Amino acid sequence: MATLDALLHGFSIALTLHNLWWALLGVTLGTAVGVLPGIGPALTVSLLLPVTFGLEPTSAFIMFAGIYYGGMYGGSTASILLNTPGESASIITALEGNLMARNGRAGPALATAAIGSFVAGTLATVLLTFLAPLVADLGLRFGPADYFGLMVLSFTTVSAVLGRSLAWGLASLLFGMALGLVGIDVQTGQERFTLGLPALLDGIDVIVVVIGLFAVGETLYVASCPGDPASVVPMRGSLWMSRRDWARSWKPWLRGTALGFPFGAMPAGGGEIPTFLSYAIEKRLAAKPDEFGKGAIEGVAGPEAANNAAAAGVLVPLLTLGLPTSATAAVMLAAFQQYGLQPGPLLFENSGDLVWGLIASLYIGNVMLLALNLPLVGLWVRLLSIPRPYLYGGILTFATLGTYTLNNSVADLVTLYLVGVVGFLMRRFDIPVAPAVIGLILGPMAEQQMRRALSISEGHFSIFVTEPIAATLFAVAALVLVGPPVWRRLHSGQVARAKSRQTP
Amino acid sequence: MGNRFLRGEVLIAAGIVALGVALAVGTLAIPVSGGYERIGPAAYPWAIALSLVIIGAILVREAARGTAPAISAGPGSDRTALRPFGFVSLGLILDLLLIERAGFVIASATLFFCTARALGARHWIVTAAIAVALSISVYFAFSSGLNLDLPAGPWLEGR
Repeated sequence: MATLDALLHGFSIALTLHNLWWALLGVTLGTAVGVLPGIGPALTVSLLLPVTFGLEPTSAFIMFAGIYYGGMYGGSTASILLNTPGESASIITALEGNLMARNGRAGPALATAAIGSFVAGTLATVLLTFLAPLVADLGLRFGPADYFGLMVLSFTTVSAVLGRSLAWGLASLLFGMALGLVGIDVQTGQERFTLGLPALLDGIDVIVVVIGLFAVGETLYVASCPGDPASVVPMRGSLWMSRRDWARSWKPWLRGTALGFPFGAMPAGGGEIPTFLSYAIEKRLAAKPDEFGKGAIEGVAGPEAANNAAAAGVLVPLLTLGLPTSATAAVMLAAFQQYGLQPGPLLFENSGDLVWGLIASLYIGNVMLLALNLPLVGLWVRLLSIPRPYLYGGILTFATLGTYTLNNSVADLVTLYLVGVVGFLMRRFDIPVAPAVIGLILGPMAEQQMRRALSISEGHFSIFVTEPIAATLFAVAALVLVGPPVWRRLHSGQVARAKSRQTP
Repeated sequence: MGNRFLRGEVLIAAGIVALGVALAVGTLAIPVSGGYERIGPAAYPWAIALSLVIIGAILVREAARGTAPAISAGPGSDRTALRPFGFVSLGLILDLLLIERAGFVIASATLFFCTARALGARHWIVTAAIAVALSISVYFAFSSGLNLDLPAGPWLEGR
């Protein structure tokens, strides 16, 4: 019951007029950036960080969480009406959703996405509420070796899950980790890789890298590799779902939630995988599987629920262990650090007001988002008609504004451009960006934990195999790295044998 | 996708190897004192440098043989147009050169204008007007409204 008491206390914080306003601002902004192409929640939170310095952390995080949840809702609108997913977790929604819109069923598609997001978001927030304190308790028992193991595990899963191959994912991760090395070593005060430049003593700011990769890289890409301009499908027909639509939607919502939350909560790269899985499952379970590919409502309801549930799941490791598993979570971790807070088990003890106010605000945010997204969907659609040149001009204006105001330094703008060129190349060659962001923020933390563990063991690396939790985590990490290729080889061997049997 | 794409991929993979080597060279420059700490500030960088070289080498091999998983380049076209790339770059470089000399408004308006032109904005007078209007309103919203310290430049000094 302690959890319920804490949650009620959280509501007393989140329901103040002041914090309701920040939640409303967050979900509104989040929906807008979710709808708009080229700008997502990770970038938005980064851009807002300098603005929120003067704000109380609880209010700032209530707003950030609103942006995060709102981005998930808004992403579906862009997917359904424009066929260009605003978020990577909405790619699957675009498949059936856009076809539904073309068949004049944009209304039910938007409705099942919004209501499904609400159902999944709320259920997943309930799971978060009750699971988070348990994980935080578990985290208290973790030593440095265990934390190091946990971080190595999330390095490998994030690299394996995102992008087209494990090797490219690892390359992206290592690039981020290399950037994370720059600056003064906290344990010895030694300068590392600063090239003698005073601007690099404090290291390379995660926020500048995120803005560079997402805003500058994306703009360079869109400018120099123009695709066919996507056209907005006009809204026709009723916004309301028929009785039949409801009957076909509710089970996918629940199944999507059941898939999304655990995937988000595990260090497994956020919302993409569960949406793919949900789509595959709904296709298999559908009464009329042949409707898939022509605009099946189940193919919108399931994945949309999955990505919202995953968004809540991602907050579990972030808040309880300080472990980010998506780009947005990495930026939120950076935001915590800007406020001098370290997410982890102790956050629940030391900053209970913040944590529970934040969790309570998620319930409120979901209600606000349902209200914002269903009746006002026409308003968001109008955002899609902003001409691309002005949209990207504006994105870069805010990108440079956010970067410059971070430290009032022109050197940050130089970093911004250089990282932007790298981001362009990554986009061009289909190299995932999120591992780099996670490597950059988690890399230095992993190094600290490793060195702490090794000073406990007096330099013996055996500590990583004799501690049971750490050993397990390393074993799983190794399995993620070598498992798939080995399995593939065995499998292709079987296929080859089967074939050779068929053709004697 | 053609050969141009493959060649680019080999180059990027080679760049990853080069980054690893550069990191190793930089690691050599970190003085390691034989203090009580057995794991000094150079151990972890060595691990990353080595991993970069190994992963880079694997990727070079994959890319050169053409065995890498296909690129799904998204909605963009196969060709990279250099002119718009140059225009966006020009805007960003002018922005960082101008922001402390000419002030936020001029730097941002220049950036907006270059970017919008790169993305195909046709009417340059309209674009310029929007660029200036946006920069001025952002400047006042953020410097007076949110108390951020933006460089005013000689024109707006003291206002």
